[in-house]
Order: sequence, then structure tokens, then C-alpha cells
Amino acid sequence: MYHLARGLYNNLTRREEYSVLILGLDNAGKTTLLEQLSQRYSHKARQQNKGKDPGFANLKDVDTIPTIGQNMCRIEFNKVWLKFWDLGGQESLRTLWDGYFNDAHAVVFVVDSTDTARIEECREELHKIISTEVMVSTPVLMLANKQDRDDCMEVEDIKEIFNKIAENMSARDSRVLPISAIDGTGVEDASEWLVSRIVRNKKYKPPNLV
Amino acid sequence: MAKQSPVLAPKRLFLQIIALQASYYAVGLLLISFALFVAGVPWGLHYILSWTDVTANTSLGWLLTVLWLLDAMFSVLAIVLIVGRSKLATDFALTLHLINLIVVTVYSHSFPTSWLWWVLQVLSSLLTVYAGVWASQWRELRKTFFEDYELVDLEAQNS
Repeated sequence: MYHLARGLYNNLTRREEYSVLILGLDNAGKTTLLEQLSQRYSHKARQQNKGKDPGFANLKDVDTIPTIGQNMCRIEFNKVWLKFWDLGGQESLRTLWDGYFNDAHAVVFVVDSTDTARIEECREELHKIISTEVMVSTPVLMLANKQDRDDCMEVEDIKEIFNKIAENMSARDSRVLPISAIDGTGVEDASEWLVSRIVRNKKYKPPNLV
Repeated sequence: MAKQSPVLAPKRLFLQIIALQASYYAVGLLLISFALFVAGVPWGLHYILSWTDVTANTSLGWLLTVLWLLDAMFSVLAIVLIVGRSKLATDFALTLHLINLIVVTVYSHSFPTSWLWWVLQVLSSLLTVYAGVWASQWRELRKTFFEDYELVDLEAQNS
């Protein structure tokens, strides 16, 4: 009876949650973006801030080491619960990505706007992701990161590069947005776009109940 | 993504509780009916669903006590067959007795006051909890499909 009561209680208190993958090449800023989201929107951060919104933190002095494996954080944005999975972006770790595709409700693809040399590699990786069968009808948000740096590419240029792929994904929601994960510029707009598309896509990718 | 184990699905647990309770009363019905028949006592549903007959004053009260303990042993078997999980055996065994307390209270329109009935419940609970856990563990730790392969190997070596 104890297990029955506990099971019923858990069923009654379940909430809807969506999984979002943060992908991109190494040194794109995926982990910094996750940290930024977690410091402002996670349940723990909200409790610590006692309802006040402190805005985004400046993570300039935070040392982030290359991710081996994954980082995870849960946030609540506009009353929607999201679970972000930040996966390691080094070349040898990218083969692990497709293991997460089945459960992903959206993909955030982070691009290092200052790394002009590897922009073509970015395009190839993104192409691989969106041409996977399970990723059809999954919203894709491309973030042109490091917009605070002077040597960054313009968002328009990045849009142009990804437009070729975007043509193939006409039926799917996709967008290129500029952000700076390190000081939080654009992260709120990006989250807003992400949440609206995920909720709109609810019928095709129903949320997890946790 | 955390998904609930089917073993802990509320619907399944609920049905198991019902099945266990039904088997408890079914076996009790058989045992007590037989005993009443042999003793030449006219049959009555209150022998099964009421606590008033389980008293230390009558020989029938003591007979019923022994029969209910015997029924508890069958319940151990039922726990192993219906539930089969040692981690859940204690929960199910105690639930069985809690529901029984409610059933006899409702049927007799009074809370049990016979000390022998309470002693019976304590003994029966202890028996079903310990034997239920032990028997479920025994079943869980039993060798399963590996046995066949071993037999095949032995036969191959012998020939």
C-alpha cells in the first residue's frame, strides 16, 4: 500500500519537461551557455535569488574546461521546464551525440563566430545532425556565439552559410540568433524562441513526464 | 529520462493487492468451511469475515486461530507467486493485514477487542513478512536459464 500511495502521489505531481541538446564544435561556448542558463533560470538559482531577477552573470573570469561526456541542467523558462544536455564537442566525442537524438525535443547548435577557419566544419556537423531521421520535425536553433568579441563574424554572414542547409529543412523550425554566452546577451531571446517552438511542436514531440 | 518501472505502476500494485486479498479469503473460506463441516458446526460467513469468533473462550476460537495461521502460510505462497519481489513483500504482507482489519471491523460493526484475534494478527503479520521476504528472495536468487546450458555442457562432456 505504501508503494501504491507513493506511485499515485508521484503520478499526480508529475510535470512536463522537454529535453534540449546543446551541440556544436569544441570551444564554441556550449558549457558557458549552460552555466549562464543555470545561474539565472535553474530552480536552485531562483531560490537563492528569492524571486528577484539578477539578470545574467558575467562569466569572463570563469574557467571552463573541455567537456568530456555531458553536463546537464534543468531550468524553468516562461513556466516551461527544460532539461539541457551539454555534450562534449571534441571531434572524437561527436559520435556520441546521436545516442541523445531520440529523446531530444530541440537542438541548440552553438557556433563560435570568431572561428572562421572551422565554419565549414560547423556546417558539416549541423548537416549531419539534421539529416538524421529522428531529428525531422525537431526545432533547431543556431546560436552565433561570442558576439562580444570584436573579431566575430556578422550574424548575416553566418546566416548565409547556414542558409544552404536551411533550405533542406523547410518544414522545420530553425533560426540563427546572435548571443554572447559569456555576458548573457541574447540568451533570453534565444530561450524565448526555443520555448515557443518547443511548445508549438508539442503534438509531434510530446514532453516527458517527470 | 526517468520512466516509472512497470513493477511500481499503481494499477499493477492495486490489482496485486486485490488478488492477494482475494486469495487470502478464498483459502480461508476453504479451510474454515472444511473445519466447520468436519466439526459438524453450521456454516456461516461470519466465521471468515468477523473477529468475534476468534476468542480464547471456545475451542472453535482456537481452531480458527490455527486455521488463519495456516492461511497465512498460503499467503506467503501467494506473495511469491503474485508479487515475487522481496523489496515489496513487507509492504504487501502488512497491507494484507491492514485491509483485513478494516474488513472485519466493517463486517462486525465494531473494532476488534478479542486479544486472541490481535495475537493472531501479530503472529500472522510476522510470519507473512519474514517468510514472504525470504521466499521471494529465494525465488529471485534462483538459477534460471543458465541451468540448461550447464546441463548441455555436462552431457557433452560425459558422452
